Amino acid sequence: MHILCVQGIRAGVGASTVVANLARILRELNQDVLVFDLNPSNLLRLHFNMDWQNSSGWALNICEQKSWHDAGFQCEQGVHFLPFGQINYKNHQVLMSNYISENWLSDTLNSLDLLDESWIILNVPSELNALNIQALNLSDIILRIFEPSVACLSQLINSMQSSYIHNDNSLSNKSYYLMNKLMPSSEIDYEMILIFNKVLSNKTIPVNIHFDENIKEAFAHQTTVTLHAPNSASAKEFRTIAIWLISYFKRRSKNYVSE
Amino acid sequence: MSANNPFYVKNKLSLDVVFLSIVFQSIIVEDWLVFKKHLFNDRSQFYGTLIGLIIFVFLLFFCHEPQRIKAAQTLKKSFPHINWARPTFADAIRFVIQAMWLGTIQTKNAYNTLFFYQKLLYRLKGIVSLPFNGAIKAIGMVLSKFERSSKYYHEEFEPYVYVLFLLLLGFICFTVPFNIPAQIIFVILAGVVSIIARAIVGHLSKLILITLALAVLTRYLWWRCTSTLNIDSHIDVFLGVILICAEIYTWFILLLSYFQIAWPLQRKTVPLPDDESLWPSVDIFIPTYNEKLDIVKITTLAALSIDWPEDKLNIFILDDGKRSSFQEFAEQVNVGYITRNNNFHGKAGNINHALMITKSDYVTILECDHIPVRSFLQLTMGCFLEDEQLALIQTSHHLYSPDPFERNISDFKKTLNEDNWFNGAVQEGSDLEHVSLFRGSGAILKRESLLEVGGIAVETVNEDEHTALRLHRNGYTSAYINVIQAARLTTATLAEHIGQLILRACGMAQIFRIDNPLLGKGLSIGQRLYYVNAMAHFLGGIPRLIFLLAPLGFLFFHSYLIHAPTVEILLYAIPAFVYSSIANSYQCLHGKQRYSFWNEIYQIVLAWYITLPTAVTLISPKGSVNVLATESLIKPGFLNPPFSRPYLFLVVLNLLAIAAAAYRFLFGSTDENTMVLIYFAWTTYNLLVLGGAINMMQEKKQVRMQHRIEVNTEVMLKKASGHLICAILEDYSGSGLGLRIDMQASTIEKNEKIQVLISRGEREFSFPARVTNVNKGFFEALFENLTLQQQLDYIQCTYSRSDAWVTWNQYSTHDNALSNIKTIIAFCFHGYIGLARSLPRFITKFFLLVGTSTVFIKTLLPKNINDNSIQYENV
Amino acid sequence: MKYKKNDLDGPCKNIGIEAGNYIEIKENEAVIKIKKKWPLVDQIISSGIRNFVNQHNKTT
Repeated sequence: MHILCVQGIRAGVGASTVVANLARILRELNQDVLVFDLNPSNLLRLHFNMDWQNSSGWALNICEQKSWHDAGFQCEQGVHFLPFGQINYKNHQVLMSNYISENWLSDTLNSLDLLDESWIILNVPSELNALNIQALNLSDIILRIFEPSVACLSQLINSMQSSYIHNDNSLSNKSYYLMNKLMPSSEIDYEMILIFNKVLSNKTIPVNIHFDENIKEAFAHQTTVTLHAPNSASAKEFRTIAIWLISYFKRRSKNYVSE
Repeated sequence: MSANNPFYVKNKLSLDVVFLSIVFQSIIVEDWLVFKKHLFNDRSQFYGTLIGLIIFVFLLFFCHEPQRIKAAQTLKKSFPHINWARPTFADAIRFVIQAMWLGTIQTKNAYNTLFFYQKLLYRLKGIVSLPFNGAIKAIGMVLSKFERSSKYYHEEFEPYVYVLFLLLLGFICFTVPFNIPAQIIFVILAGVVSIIARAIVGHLSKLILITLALAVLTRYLWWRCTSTLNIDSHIDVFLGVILICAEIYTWFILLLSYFQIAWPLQRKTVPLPDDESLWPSVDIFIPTYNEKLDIVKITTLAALSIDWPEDKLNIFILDDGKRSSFQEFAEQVNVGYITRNNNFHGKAGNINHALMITKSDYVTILECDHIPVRSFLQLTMGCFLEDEQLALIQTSHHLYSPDPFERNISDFKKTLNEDNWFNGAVQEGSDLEHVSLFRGSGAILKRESLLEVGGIAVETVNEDEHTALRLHRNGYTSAYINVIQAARLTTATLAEHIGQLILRACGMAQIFRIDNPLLGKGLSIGQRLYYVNAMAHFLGGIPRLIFLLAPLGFLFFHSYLIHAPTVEILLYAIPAFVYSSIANSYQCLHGKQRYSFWNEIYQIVLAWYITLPTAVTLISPKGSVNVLATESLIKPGFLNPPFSRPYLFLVVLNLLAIAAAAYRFLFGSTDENTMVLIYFAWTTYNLLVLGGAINMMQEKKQVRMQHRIEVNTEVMLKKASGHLICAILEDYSGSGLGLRIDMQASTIEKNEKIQVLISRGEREFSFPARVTNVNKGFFEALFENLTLQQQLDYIQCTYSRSDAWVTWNQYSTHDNALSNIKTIIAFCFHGYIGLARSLPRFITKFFLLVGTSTVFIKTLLPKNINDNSIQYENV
Repeated sequence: MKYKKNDLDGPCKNIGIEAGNYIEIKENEAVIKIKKKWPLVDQIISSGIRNFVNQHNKTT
């Protein structure tokens, strides 16, 4: 199993969009993909053409004492996804304290009995809680999404200095950074690219995702840009990232063999 | 089974099937195929094809309109030289010939046979080279044993022993007389060895070919000197000796150039220390006189982008034109601006004046159109830090616009220019002796040593080489780095180009008279030889002119220049000619760097114009060199009729020689006939080369003001609506871009405002532009109001990317002798057509008649159809 | 989109030095200018990078 964690450095940088697009492209490349939404904002499902009124999801099912397995969906292109479900604050508290045990996520994923070659993409929110840390620890690679803003820079440096990800060597080794919503015509953006590249040096993915109207329009159509405008530059960027990910796992398995 | 699948093998099928498949359903075609197979066996496939075609034409009358249109399109593609709108009788002939061609030669069977022969040849080559490879291994083993046993051998003597041995061996090789069968065997053996040698990869093959060429040539010369002079007649001896001298001179030039090219030193540069404070300070001089600001601007911005500590990099525009716009620009971008109150000694004086004012450790000289890439200094300066004696580094001179010769050939990128050859082979070869030429631009000099020799030399018109010579005399060394770190424009017209070459040649002659490199101290033998070669090269036009005139001696005056039986002449002269051109042209010698026959034509063009002034300067060096060179430049219409007058004269003489040959063949004594034929062939060759020279001199105008540089990189466009699309950047210039987009994916309109996003390294830049010209998927965009920072960024993304010129050579094709000959003949022929147009009316009419009839006959010939769309999938 | 965005690989390889030895001075200078321009960026970077580097030294 290839477990991929996608986490925004802060909320609103477009992590869900990246998850949805990557899932669709990996599926296009004949991979088995399961998307697991861990974000209570429950937005990811909208990229997969799920009705807005439909509030079901794994968290809601658990809170309502139903099997979370029933929350699984499959989109027309064949991507399996588990929406979070629309739950309120109180239910969320209950969920976190009562149901999410220490190895909940790994048990859950193991119980799915997936093929060796299939992908699990975890959509992890930027804030920290027990579930998110489980996800990060479990993953093979963490994609951290940021946009070239000073706020993101501040958050990034903070997380490097103090918080979980950089105190733990195993986590920082497998985290890679992906720039989103890039607008080189903006003066500060184009200068921040340089700053971010200096700070992150070799930990960035060699592709940036630009700010593109197509992405916004695709979401309004309840789909991903790879389907909505397959010839657009952003679709191409997502495709490149997907190929980078595949080659990353190929390289990794090769290294295992050689070791 | 989709047609788009590239892995699906398509077979070429006969023409009828192609036609039928386009107009009708595949079922009918298959039926026809089966039917055809039954009816006609393999041998009479041709008739089957013909009948199929007849059926096709017949069926056309009964099919629907769209099918007919489709069929017409295919017809047009398969018969590209037929005018369907208004067919003539000749078109009918063309149709029949082309149909027969397509039906017989250009079918699957013919293709397969050809392929079979290729395979066979390949196998044969393997078999022939097998024992050779074994022999190499055996020799290696024997040698290694021998080495071990000779403990008491003194190493110091080794080179002398080798040289002595080689000289002895060479003397025997070159002088042993062969009778005719022996010479035949020698030629064949040499041929076999050279074929094998070409199969070997690496330096060895080059050396083998050089050795072979030298052996054959030297034997030829020895034979010429000892047994082909007719001593009985005075005039024969006189003319014969002139011809032999010319031949010896060319042999000498060839020898020198082989010597120089044999072991190129591919210099590796030295990395700089990590500590930036140890890096030396550098001044960059950009001398200009009357060039446009646009040109100087690009160079200056590129110089500003060079990766070197800001406080250690000082850029100066040396403006001899004293223009205020330049001063303003210099202040804007914060670079130095230097003028002086006189203009003594031109560029050399300009630089010397600036040397007095500035004070960095090193000085880089960039001609105002010479654009450096950003790694220019970091990849070169390391050498200076390592080698104290190093005073000059010259980087490769890359020309990014076609030079006048190439433009007149209009075959740019297929044939490489003389400059590329110079860069690769000659510079690296001479670097072995530490005499890399200083070429006046794109070079870095050590200020201390430059001042020691009195700055840039002003005594000759060739200040660059004279300065380098002085540096060498004072014990300094120079280096050449063959990675393209800067690029420049070529001269605009052929006249200017030749003018420059004349200046260089005259300058070299002056150097020889004023400061002869052969005399005086401080130079090594290799260095001296190198200068001799450079000088000899410029005088190489004299023997060429003699060769052009030589056959006249026999055909007009009946003088035996080469007094030998015809068979012997053929056996000696042809191999000599072939081997020298093989050694010159094939990958062995200059790699992919020189195109032999084009070079021959190029040399012929130069011969007249360079030789005369050079010879004059050599006799009186203080004379009016400048006047000579510049006068020829300024003369109006320098190029057209008066320019090629000497060549017209040569053409007329050779044409007369042809007539004389015909006369001698028909009415002379019969035992002379073979000899006449040889001279006839020689004259024809001369005419061919002259035709090429004349065609080359017919200038074609350059239309664009700013030359566009072809690239192929991916960029992105942001449309005014905010949508992003991918595009391919196909060319760029200082003012705009040529882009291509996928028409199916997106559209673009004229006058649309867009942002072009170009990335370099990890950074990305956006440039506002406006679409001007839309032609299907390709469009041009002009920049709009770039800020200074944006202009700087733009230069960094394009001209001064460090890999901007690295991939340049990948477009060049190998020197394919056969196809080259075909194009050359066509090219030379066009020279005569152009010439015929300017002749008196009645002659023109005659020539035009000959020309048009040839062209007409050519249109009758069948054409190869390489269009993939006319292929039928074999189900 | 190309993976190899580094324009230095080709020339450096040709000339026999590693691209890693090349110092992108213009970029470094640009960083200094950017820091001067945006005070907040300067604050974040100058404190952050130092700590980041220290931590890396500790862990590796």
